[in-house]
Amino acid sequence: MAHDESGRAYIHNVYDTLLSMEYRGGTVVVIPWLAERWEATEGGLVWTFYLRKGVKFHYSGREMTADDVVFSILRETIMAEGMGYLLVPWVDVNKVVAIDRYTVQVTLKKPCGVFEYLASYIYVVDSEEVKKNIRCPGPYGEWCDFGKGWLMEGHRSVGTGPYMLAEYVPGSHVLIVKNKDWWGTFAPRAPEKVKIVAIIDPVPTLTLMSKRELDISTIWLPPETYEELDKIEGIDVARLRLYGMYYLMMNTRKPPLDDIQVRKALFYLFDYDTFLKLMPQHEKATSIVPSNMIGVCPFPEPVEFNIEKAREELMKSKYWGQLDKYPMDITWRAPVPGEDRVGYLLATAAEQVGLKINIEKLDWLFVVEAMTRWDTPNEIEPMWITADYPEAISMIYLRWHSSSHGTVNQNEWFTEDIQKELDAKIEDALATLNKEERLRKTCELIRYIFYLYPSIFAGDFIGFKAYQTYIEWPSARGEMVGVFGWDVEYWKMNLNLEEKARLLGMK
Amino acid sequence: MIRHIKKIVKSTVFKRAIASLLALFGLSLIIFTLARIMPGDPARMALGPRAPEEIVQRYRELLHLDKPIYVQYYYWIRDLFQGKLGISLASFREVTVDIAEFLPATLELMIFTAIIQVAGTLIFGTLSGSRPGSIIDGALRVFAYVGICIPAFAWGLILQFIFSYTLGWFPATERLSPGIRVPRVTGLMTLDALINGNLNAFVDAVWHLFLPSLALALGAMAQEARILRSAMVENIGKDYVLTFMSHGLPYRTVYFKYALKPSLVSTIPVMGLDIAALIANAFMVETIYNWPGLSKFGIMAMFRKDLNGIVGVVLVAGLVYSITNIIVDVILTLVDPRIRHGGG
Repeated sequence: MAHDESGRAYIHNVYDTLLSMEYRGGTVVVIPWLAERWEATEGGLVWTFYLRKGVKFHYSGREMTADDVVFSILRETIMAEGMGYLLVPWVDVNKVVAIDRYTVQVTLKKPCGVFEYLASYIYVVDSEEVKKNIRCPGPYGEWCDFGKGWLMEGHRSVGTGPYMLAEYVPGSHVLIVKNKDWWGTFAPRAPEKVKIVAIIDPVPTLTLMSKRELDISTIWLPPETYEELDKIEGIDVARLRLYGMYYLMMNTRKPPLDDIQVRKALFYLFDYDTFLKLMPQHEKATSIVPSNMIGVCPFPEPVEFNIEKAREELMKSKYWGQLDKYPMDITWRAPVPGEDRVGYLLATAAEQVGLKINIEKLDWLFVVEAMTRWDTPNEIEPMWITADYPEAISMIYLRWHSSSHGTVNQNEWFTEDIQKELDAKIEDALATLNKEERLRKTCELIRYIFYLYPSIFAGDFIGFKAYQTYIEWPSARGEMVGVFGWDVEYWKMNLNLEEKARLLGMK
Repeated sequence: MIRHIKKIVKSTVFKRAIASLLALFGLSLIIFTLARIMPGDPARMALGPRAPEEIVQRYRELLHLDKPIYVQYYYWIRDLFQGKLGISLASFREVTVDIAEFLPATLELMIFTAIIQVAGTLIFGTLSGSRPGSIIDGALRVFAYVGICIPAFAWGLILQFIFSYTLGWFPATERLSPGIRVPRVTGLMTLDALINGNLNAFVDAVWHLFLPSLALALGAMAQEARILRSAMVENIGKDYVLTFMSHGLPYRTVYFKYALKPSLVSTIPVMGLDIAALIANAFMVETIYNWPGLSKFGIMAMFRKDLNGIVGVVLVAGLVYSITNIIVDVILTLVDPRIRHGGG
């Protein structure tokens, strides 16, 4: 099987995590994975994980033990790269210990109600193999490069997951093969090999898919390419409900956006329906986070395109009568098809009420740089943001907690007093162990953030992926965790090779 | 002939090599500085936005990014004399390893492109130039205009659409078909296939090379064919050609022996530059054909602000330019006696 995907799919299929998430009965639940069971004590401060026995690492064949898990948690938390950022605020690296060969105890710096989700991002590596290949010097103190250089060279995978690395051709592809010793259960006709490639261009995608040399496409093709692919016999387009949203983030420190009335007016100046026509990979937003997340509460008041209401809000603003003196910039990125049109959509409506919005093309490198400080010249920054776990608080933390300042996840830059209050509310919700109570607090947060008018909530992101119908793919039926990489769990797929042969004209 | 070659080596190659070394030194200074004044903190970009500041700072120190640019340059030059170009911030391995990994794929593409380009230029330029105003000339002129106007990546897409998607004659991507493997020796897939005695793999590799090479060759070929045509038309009208013809020499001999050779003097330098430019310009074609080449790696290095990667790729591109120019000069010296004897 061949799949056009990013590194997230590779990691998810090659490395097992301590716990995992799964779609069950219309929702997503945390399930045992490398840990068979777990418990939280001392008010959510101490977490004990009881490991599965007999789990073997790829290549070395050594049994995974608590020492490997301890090393993996330390590695991920100290490096704080990739998904490691989720663990950093919580895990006390001095208090991660192996109680015995199959028991790990993690003491947190403060109670965490969502730690089960976060444990789904603890990727367990073969500590002996990694330690053997640590190179000095490196940025991680006594751990030098933590084995990153060796791993990045693609010598081998050091996980325990359902698939293992067979071939790595940098710049071209990665080939992974079934791990026959995997402890879990493969679907009866799960692919034996998966070739992960990186093709983002429509023509080669069309060519390879029509020749059945590519089975699942990337998510980053122009909408019209999916329409073309959909017309080919034996190809369907899956609409994947990721925990993603398209935001037009407003810098609340810069005039005129420092005035809440102006921000509210911009809510009314965005033509949501036309946006959905321009960018069909979206659905109408119903909240400040994607509607398929757990604990979502709807917008506390209607969000609509209404120029008259926008004018009314602007008239209450301190900038009324001098709006032309405060032009704003909205940016767009060249490789994103149609993104400039979003800027024009807003600018055209804004012009009718005297607001001047300039549309600026900004390359990604400059966007990243611009978002490191509040006083750089991008008043409105459009951005797709995807959350990491299904609860709404995941997106709220990623988007509006102060730890996101300086990253591409946030451009609001609330004033210190507002940010302090917001951080306290977010941290309180995250620390709440009782799920119902946490969701209630999340709902309050949604309301609180909405009334700060921080962003235009343009639409929920729907990821399109074309796929061959001879693949029975749970995610295509909507049975998925809405996180990049989790939508392609190869071990759950079934390949109907007879159907493939028929499509190729061999039967 | 041997005397000629010795003289050329002495007079041309040596001088050019010294000049090229100086040029590469200048290039390294410029690109080293430019890469460092581009926006973005390379250490932060390498470790991610959420990495703790103390780790990022340690990384900056490790890469000497906390020092003035001239000190950074000193460290870089010092490492260069030890055969190191520094650690890539994108791949986290020595840039020399990355270059060794990606360069052969691009070189192979360049070699095949050069073969198509030179052959096409000679055929089309000579055919067109020897019959100015004919139907063939007209058709080739149209082809030349179209070829020049359409960029290589568009050719890549057009060719892929026609010959892979519609007709299915050629593979759409990659260097080998699924299931075919060739142990890496040089990294040039065709050569490695021959070294391993795998003729099937050789044919398969050539089959994969054809479309991307053609896409890269077409634009330059069209331009060079136009230049060659003009030179041919000019030379055919000269007295010495008329004299040969009046003495009854066959047209073919006159055109291909006496008119083509001087006409090439203006075409060869352009050909050389076009071929050398491929190392940097093949990016889009490499992307379209999922070709793991240095050009694609270089652009990715730019996007990720991989300082050492950028400098390494630019230096290799500069080196390829220099070597190509030396080769062009040698060929010109052999072709044109005026250059050989210090005249003209």
